[in-house]
Amino acid sequence: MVIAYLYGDLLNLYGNDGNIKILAQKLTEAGVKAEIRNISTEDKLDFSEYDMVYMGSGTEENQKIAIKALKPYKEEIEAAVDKGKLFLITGNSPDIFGQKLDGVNIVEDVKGLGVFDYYSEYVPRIKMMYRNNDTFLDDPVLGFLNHNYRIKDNKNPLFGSDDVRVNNFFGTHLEGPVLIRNPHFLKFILSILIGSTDAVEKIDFEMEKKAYDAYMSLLVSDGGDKNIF
Amino acid sequence: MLIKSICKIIQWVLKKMGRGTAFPGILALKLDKNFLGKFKKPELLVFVTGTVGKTTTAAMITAILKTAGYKVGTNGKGSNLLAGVCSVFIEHCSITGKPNVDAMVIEVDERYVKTVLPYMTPDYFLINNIARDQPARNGHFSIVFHDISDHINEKPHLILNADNPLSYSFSLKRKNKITYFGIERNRFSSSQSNEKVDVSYCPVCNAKLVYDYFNFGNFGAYHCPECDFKRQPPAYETRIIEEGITIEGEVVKIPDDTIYNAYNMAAAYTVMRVAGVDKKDIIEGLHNIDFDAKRFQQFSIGDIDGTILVSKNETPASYTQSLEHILRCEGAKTIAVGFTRISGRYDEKDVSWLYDIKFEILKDDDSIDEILLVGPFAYDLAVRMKLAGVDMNKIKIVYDHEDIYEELKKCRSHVFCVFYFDLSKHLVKVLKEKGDKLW
Repeated sequence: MVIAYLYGDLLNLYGNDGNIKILAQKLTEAGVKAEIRNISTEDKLDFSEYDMVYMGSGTEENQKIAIKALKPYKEEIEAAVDKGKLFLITGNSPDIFGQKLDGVNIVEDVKGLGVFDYYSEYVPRIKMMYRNNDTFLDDPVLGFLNHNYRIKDNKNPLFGSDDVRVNNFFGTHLEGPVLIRNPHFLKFILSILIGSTDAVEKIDFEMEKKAYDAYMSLLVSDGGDKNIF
Repeated sequence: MLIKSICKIIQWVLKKMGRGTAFPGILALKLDKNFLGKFKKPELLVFVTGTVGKTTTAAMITAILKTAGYKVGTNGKGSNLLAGVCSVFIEHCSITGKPNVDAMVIEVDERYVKTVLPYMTPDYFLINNIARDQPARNGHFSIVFHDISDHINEKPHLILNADNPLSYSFSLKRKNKITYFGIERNRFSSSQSNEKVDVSYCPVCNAKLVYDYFNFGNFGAYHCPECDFKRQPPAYETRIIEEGITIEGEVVKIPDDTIYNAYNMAAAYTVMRVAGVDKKDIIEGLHNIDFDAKRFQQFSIGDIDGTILVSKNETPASYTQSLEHILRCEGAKTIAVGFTRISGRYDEKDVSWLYDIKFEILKDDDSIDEILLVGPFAYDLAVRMKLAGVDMNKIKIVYDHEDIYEELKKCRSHVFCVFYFDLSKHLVKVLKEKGDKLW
């Protein structure tokens, strides 16, 4: 099994690679042999070789470099999404896949890859903790937001209108180690990747669950328990 | 309102309040938001900013100037926002706004440079470094860079860190006088960084940068294979030898024997040298520093000895340094890592920064007996340790931080406590209450 880690040298803000590390560890625990393929902008891409594609957050300057590098692969990405290839795209990277990053006359407009119809609109920086009780998952989704664009014209929300799901393309503005923060989401992604719920059930998620529960109880004791979206 | 009347009020308040707070500045800004612009610049005005090392470097520069016979005003620890800067001027100026000191050395928080520079232009502006830090506050390092860069006019003489690509980037497209400081490859250097590389692609032409070596974190030698973006030669190349640093033939001991203090010294030396301070006074000043720069406190509980290394959460450069320092110490050791909250500034409980710290360096070290994970985020730390490949049999969870004292008593070897301010404060308090040794 091959997980393509796209542009980890370029888009490496907020401990995104935690997502890659946890996938590698859990796959090993499930007895699945997995290769993490670190891919840089100068490398050629072949989506038929990958079982999963991951991409995380970068600075606005680096986002532009990533768009330039991915542009030649637009059609291949579209085909892969159509065929149900698993993509996990976190932080500000979902913006790259839309029509444009609209600077709303404050910052420059940037053309996206145009894989999807949505576009992203510049907003004053969103920096906040996130908790959403109302998603397709049983337990609340937790995370951290730290970005400058909000998705518009989104016909395919994942957790909310600022996240995207098309087939097995999962794009979320949540920052950092999203999968670690949300062991239930990690399980969900692993079931798609491995193609078997049984194999996933054998993996030990105890520590991640304890961290999740500890965070929830902290929220309650703080009185800062807000359902933001 | 006239500066005269504002100062009269403030000075009255000052007498009541005592020194060293940002309060006079806060009050002054309430009365007049352009307050800082009403002061005259002292003969020598130095600003210091950056992600790490501001306070220490400003203290070093102050010590040097005092040695050289200057009367100096400084904001010292902490008060480095606009109000803190105003407070320095209130304290050291007459009621007409004229300074009664020869020099001011002002540490400015990197996010507040934009609020200070429109009113006051320094003669020398030292930008120590820019690195990833406090995401919930800063967004990311590039935002911090532009925040500062957009507000520098052509007047100040910039002192930049040649080894930190973001600091060097302040020189791009600029007409200011610029002097670089930097440290040669040395015993702390390695070919790989123990941190995420912030600037991996050339800011000028977007080619992938080549790093020849790293001295620590994002400090090292780099060059772009496509254009002329590269480490600049420092004006006074600094070398590290066993006894300390050598600079222009002089040797000075490094406080705590840490590479970041070597950088702070190189920075302070360079600013003072270009400001025309006598070389002898600079060296003497650096020798004399009675160090606040020491972040390490020692304690003992019965047979157990320990060291507290106050480490800033969310600042990988600070955290990794603590870990690297511990691993360089000889002998069996216990490591305690923890915090009760992520930040003293805000309530966001983001843990993504744990993944920007290379805990992997702990994994194959046989000298580590045990690792205590302390506080309400102990399980997040445990998940991180497991992913770092640390032997989980060595891990002990101390979820309730109040238990830390009793747990320390059970340790088998020297305990290095990598604690955030909150937890180190707690431990120091308990040690004092129990009458244990602390120095």
